[in-house]
Amino acid sequence: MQPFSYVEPRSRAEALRLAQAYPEARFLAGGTTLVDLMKSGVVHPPMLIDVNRIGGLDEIEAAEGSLRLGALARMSDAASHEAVRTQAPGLSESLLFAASGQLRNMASLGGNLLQRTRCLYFRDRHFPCNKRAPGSGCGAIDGENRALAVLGTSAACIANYPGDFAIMLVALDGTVYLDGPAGERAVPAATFHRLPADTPHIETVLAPGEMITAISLPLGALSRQSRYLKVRDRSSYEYASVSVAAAADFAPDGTIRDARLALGGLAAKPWPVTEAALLLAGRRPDDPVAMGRLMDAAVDGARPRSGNAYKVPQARSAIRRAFATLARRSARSVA
Amino acid sequence: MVAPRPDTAFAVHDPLAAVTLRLTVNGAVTEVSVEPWTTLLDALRERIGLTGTKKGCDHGACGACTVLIDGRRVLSCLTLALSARDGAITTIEGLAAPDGTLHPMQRAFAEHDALQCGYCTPGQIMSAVAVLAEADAGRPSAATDPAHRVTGRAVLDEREIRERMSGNLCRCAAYQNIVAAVREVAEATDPSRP
Amino acid sequence: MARGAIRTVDTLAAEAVPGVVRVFTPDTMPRLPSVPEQPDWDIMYGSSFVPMADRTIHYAGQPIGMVLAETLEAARHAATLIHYEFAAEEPVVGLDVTTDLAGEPGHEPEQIWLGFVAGYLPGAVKRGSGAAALDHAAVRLEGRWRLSTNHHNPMELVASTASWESADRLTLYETSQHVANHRNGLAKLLGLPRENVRVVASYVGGGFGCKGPVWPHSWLAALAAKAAGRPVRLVLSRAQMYTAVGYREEQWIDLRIGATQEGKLLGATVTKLSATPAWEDWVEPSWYPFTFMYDLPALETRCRLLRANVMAPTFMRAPGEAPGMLVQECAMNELAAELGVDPIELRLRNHADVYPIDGSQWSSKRLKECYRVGAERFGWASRSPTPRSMREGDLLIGMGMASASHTVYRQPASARVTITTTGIAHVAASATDIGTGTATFLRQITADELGLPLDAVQALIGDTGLPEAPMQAGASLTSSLGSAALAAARTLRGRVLALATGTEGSPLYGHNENDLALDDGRILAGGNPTGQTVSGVLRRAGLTELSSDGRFDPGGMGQVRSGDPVRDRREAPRGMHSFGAIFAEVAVDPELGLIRVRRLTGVYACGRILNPKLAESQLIGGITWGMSQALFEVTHMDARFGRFTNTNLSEYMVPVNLDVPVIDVTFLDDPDPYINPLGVKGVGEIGITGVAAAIADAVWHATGKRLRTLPILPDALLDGDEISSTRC
Repeated sequence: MQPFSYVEPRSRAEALRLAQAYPEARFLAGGTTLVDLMKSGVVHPPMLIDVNRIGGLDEIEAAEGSLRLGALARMSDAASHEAVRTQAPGLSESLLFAASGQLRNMASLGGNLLQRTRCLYFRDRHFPCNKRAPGSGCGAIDGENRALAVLGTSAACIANYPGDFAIMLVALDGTVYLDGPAGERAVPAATFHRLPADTPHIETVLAPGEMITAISLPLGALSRQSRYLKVRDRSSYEYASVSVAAAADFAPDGTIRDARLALGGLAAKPWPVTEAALLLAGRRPDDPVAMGRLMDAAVDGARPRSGNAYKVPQARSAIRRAFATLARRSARSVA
Repeated sequence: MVAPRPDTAFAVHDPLAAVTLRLTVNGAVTEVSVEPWTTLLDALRERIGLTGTKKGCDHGACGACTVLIDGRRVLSCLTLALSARDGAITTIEGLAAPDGTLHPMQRAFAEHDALQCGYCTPGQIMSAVAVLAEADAGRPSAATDPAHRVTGRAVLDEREIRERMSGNLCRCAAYQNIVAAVREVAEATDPSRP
Repeated sequence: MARGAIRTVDTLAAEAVPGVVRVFTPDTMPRLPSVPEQPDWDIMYGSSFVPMADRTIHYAGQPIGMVLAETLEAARHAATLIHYEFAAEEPVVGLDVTTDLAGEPGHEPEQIWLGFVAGYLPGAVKRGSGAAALDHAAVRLEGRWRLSTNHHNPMELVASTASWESADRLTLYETSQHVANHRNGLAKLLGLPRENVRVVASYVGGGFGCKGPVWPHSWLAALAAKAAGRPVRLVLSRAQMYTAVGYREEQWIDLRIGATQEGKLLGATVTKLSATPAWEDWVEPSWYPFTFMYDLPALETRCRLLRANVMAPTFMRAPGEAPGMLVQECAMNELAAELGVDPIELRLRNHADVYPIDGSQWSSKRLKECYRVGAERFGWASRSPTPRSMREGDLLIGMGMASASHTVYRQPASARVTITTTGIAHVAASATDIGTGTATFLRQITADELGLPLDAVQALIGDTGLPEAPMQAGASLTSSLGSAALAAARTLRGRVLALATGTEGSPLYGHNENDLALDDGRILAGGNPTGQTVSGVLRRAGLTELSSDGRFDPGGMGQVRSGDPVRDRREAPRGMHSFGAIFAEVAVDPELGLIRVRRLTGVYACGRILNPKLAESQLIGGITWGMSQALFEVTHMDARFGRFTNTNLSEYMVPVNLDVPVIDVTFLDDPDPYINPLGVKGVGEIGITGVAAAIADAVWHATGKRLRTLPILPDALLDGDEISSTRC
């Protein structure tokens, strides 16, 4: 770890002032990504602004058809919150399937959105990596890329976003609230992360000095029938090779009124499949034609590399599986 | 460096300066000298001399360094010592009673041979103690049916225990006996049982 | 940088970091007084590589700098500030190269493990003509198995603390599986008399092979401590452990094996390809199981080694047997399917009734009972033989089995047992405990022999100042050291009784020793209390304590001898192995490519089981390793850089708690009067053997796919990468 100074503001305003004064400083929340990468020599901020003692940023509120999660709420607390579990079970699942009990107790929701890729070439500074050292090249494209992205990649980078919660947030039309030098703003979760293009080191729309303050999503029929399916080699404590965040509002006859879908593990950002609502409306999840079209749309443009072609059939199957589970759960709750 | 303001409660401006902290470890307030980059794990082991907490990976991938802060299990290798200064820290050394009587979880691990080399064991036990507390608080896990409404203690069947303990690697693979130990303590302390 | 040289080094920035005491580079590191060409494994075993002695780079991860500092943090930071410039060359790594570092297509080593077990494990085996036998085979199988690089990854990091008590006396606290080896090695390398080196390692957080040999970090710590004039602790990071303490080498094993239409094996050829560094030949004998497991009349084995820019591999749990049993048992299962014979039946038809290596008798062998009991416990009869025929909802269910076996290794061992007038006994030996229960079995054996409660016996272990114990490896410590402890305790018991019966004035004077027994510190005669105690006997003799030494000397590791010279003259040598049968059930999700192991049943005959709880734990652990070998573990090498990519515990997969199913372990009663006085065969290694083959067969049974690249990952089930058994 490189040396750094450490400041601990007690107010949001002071935190933002510090961040503006020291552009290379980083906010420290749970530390589960940042401290790890600092130890690996991948990032070396000269100052950490520990935001953990700022009041009012860790509240979880459900009211008026909306769920609002403070950026400093811990993953485990959000996953266990009664409103999250009952009103957005898929969101709870996306949190519970991530990392381990210890890490979920530490990691904040805001920090989780900013989780960095697990690409091995990014994490070992002896390899070239355009994300870590712009212009140095991409070691992964022709290297060990089994875990990496097949969608939205570029010639500069095939890293994938490793998180889970953000995938469900995108599926459920979530919003990310930011505060910074230019004031507060809200961005759709679906546009919060960026694809690599030729600037893979810029991963989100977060401006210098900005912080995430809260996350919200609408509560309703879709969130109540949401499901997060995570596929991985190991049964637990592993990143997704593919994950599916699915939500469907079923009519009493079992047909789908409205649906949402986003994919994880496949791209540098949560991958929204915006065609889901249109392709599934009025259909049943076991309709092979509709589901086939949805699976085609989901992986359209996929560009597998030497080691990750398996992700495409895995993603297709996972999509069908997730909606089938939702249908079963819906039928069970009707019964 | 930054001028302290009233709303900046704490700052260490010199990255290489040692700061004296008061950490509350196992109920005792301990003065310890750390730098900003000292992790709680290294502070416990190298500065306070509590070597029961183990370093297995130093990157949050193995669980050997698990301690409790205010009763919550966390990884001390990814926690800065500075950040931990307000919390009540419990390490494996703090589990047994002052007279040396082992904590029920420690006793169960020994009785079930829930360890071989023993290196991951402090982390496993700290995690297991927290698992019971989490279950008592009705907290779900990835093994919990989302449709199931938890009232009171969450069910701790084999699958639940395995999932909740999956953040603690054991290379000797004593998992089967770890499950048996946790299960025994869970059953003995289940508030819903007479 | 995996090949080339350091051009320039600049340590100024590192030295300027507050708290830094010394910075060493290859230019400034103190030199070893004597650098052996190759380690003499009679004296020490370990890598002969000497880093930090010149500017040449042989592999990625090679030590090229070392910082001593007041704090760990300062040392780690300063190490990143040493600035190097390199002259890099293209590295040579991987098994698909046409020429190796030496410009050759590889070479065949004359010996393996530097002759460590000379004459026992030859580099090449020729028994009849394997190739000619295949010509007559009605059924032939030919294939290449590709086994990944695996790393031990004990949970405890490797560490040395070196403290010079005087200019020529060193104490080393080491994560060691064999303190005597570290003492011998350090003494030799540092030019010290052995008695001037003390190595301490009472409890070690797992080893699995990587903490047995002497690696450079130990003597680098000692040299640094001497230069700095103060103790030095060197702890390897998890990432450094991937390139500093060995690994199981990536290997391709080409097998041709043939049988009659009735399933009787006729012959086989086995060729192994793997890589080794420039400075030594390392290869684990993966062909070895073919020599002993079945009645295989003709066998030819070869191994080809490529010189490459890699660190030396080393022993890893069941070296030789783990990969070799995998391939052999996969082949048996594939042959069984070809012939339409039940896999157990095929094994029975090829059962080796005598030790195939020399035709001698087995010391004991209950493999057939292992098959029978295992099949019963597992419910093998419920398996429908046709692949893809068992389903549950979306899942395909598969069942597979394999044999398990491990050589009984035996090593010279010494122990001392002392009893005091306080009624407490001590058992002492230099052995470490890596999780196998060294202290427990020593206390148990001593307590049993001296008739003491377990609480009255204490163990002193893990220090070269104690009687010399062998390495904690090869499933041989309990049998070897336990036999030495038994001898010591038995002698001591005899001496106590001799004092009681031979001392005039003793109430037991003149009693026949054979009528006496020890029970909880008391002496019984004909089963009745005599009012005499062991403490009283000692006191009457004017002693505060009495010690006896015991020794087990089988005449060399792995010798097929009983250890008793009288009996060896009387009886023929015997094949000594533990045996078992392992059964696996998997559930495969064919759409997602996921494989989950649902049940594992193992039945073993491992001689006498001293401590069922410890033994069962060893087997559960070993079986989990086999499952991990089958489904998880792979260290990826990026050949372009000559560098491992996943040197951490997040991307090097080992099973988590939820991955591991209930493992049902049964031991058969297996009395063996030949192997050692205890009748113990050892249980630490056999668990891993056969498991991966049983799982691979279960995957085939579930899916119809024969997969010969390990680990078996979802990719293989989703990419259509299918190998059908080749009939040639």
